[in-house]
Amino acid sequence: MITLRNIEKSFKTGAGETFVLRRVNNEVQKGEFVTIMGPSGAGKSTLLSILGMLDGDWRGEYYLFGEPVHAMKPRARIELNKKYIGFVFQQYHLLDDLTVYENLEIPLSYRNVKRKERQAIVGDSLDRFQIVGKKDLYPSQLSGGQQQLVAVARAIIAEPAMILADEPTGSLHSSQGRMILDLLKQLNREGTTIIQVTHNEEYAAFGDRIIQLRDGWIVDE
Amino acid sequence: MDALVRHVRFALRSMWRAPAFTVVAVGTLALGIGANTAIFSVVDGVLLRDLPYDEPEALVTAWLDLSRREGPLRERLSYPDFLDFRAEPVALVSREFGERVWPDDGALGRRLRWGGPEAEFRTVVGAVEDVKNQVLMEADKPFVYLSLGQQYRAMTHVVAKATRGMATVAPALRASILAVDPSLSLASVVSLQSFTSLGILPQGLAAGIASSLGLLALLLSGIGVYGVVALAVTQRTKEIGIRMALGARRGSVLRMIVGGGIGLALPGVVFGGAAGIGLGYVMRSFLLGLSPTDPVTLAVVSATLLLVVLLASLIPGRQASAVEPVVALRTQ
Repeated sequence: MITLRNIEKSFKTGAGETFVLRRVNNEVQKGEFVTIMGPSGAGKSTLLSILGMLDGDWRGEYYLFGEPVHAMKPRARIELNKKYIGFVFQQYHLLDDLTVYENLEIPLSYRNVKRKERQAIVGDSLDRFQIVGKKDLYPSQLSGGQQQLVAVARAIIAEPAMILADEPTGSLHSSQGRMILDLLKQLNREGTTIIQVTHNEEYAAFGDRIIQLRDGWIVDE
Repeated sequence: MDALVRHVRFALRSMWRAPAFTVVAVGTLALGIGANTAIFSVVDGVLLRDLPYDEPEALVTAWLDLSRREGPLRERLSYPDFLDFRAEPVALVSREFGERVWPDDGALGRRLRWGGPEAEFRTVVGAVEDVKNQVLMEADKPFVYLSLGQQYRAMTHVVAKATRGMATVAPALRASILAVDPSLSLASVVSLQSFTSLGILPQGLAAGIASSLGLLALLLSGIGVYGVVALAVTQRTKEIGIRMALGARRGSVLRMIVGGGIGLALPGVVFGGAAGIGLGYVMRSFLLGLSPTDPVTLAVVSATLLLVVLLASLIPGRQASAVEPVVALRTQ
């Protein structure tokens, strides 16, 4: 599903070049649950942003379902992102001025899903995540756990083949964190490929395998 | 259409949820439109607008100087003068004159003596509207109008309407007058617009200063509106990053940003238009001919500031949507 060859990312600095990722090579199979771990500054979130096509400034080869992402223009990458990827952020990144219902509707509207169909899909999602009663609330009216629940619901609402979760439990207390990981595990069982970044050993264990990053290099797998 | 409705709804809600910012943004725009509409209405009314006649550029006034002719008075008169002399002594009076002298019964048919106790009585055969004789701001004064033939004046003005420009009209007029009497002297031929410009000189100067201040105000309004709207767009950089991470195309993001800008601008145009019209009414009391509801002035000022809003939305919006979503997401 994913093939990475010699992925590198660096910044120009006064003295020369600082690398964030060095010669990252890996493959992720469809239906896997992969955990990326490592200390702060290891390049975990950067790698996830590259996989999620939120960052286009890197070198190397990245194939997603056989399509060469590295050779694509930004517009084509956005289309590929919309087709296959759902992203969950540590800081939830819900839109503050939109209600829960409208936040869930956003990914569908960018995929040109008709209004009636959107209403049905969002309704199902609210039911599934048991947040029907919160549909008219704004993010600021929800707890952190509830916001991340909405963020996960938003990430999967367009039925992506892969969910990328960047420290999804980083801002939550333990019971909320476990609830989110249970949810991701459930989605993985249903066939969704999951790649998560975490510092937490307990949550890392939800994955089928763990990729260890240090100073931009994969040091263990 | 669905997307447009969502953008408008979102823009209105954002404004509602940030009332202080909305008041500042709408107020800046309203102030800009109101002040500029009022200022440019004055400039238009005093400097730019034509005289209230058909084809005002075709009206000319010719100053006949009969005093330079030689010979006894009777011999100095032209044939038209002679025809006027045959009439009964009559006069026209201005409305102000009539109201002062005969406040109750009206002026028509009354008799008056003009030019001292030795002068003959004249019958008032009509009353005319008051006019501004020297400057636009002067109060209405009483006037008595006499026939040139009955009250000879050595110098007089003739008003003519021509179908050609001044360059052609002046020699043609001169030739016509000399054809009547070769001894007549035509002192000057000027367009009525130039002639009346002297009467509105104070207003002209004021309008000249006002127009300079108006351009400055428009520039400052533009800068203010640009700053406010651009700040609003820049504050949405993170939101732009989230939307692009969720699959938004750049064009869609830009439409949303411009929609938000227009959402801010429309109430500004409404309030600013109302303020401009209100100020115009205040100024109309001391500036004749000023139309406080001049649609062209209002439209031009509003369109200029709407263009500024559009640019203030588009330029930072393009910058924000051009960066990688991961960069936009880091923005606080």
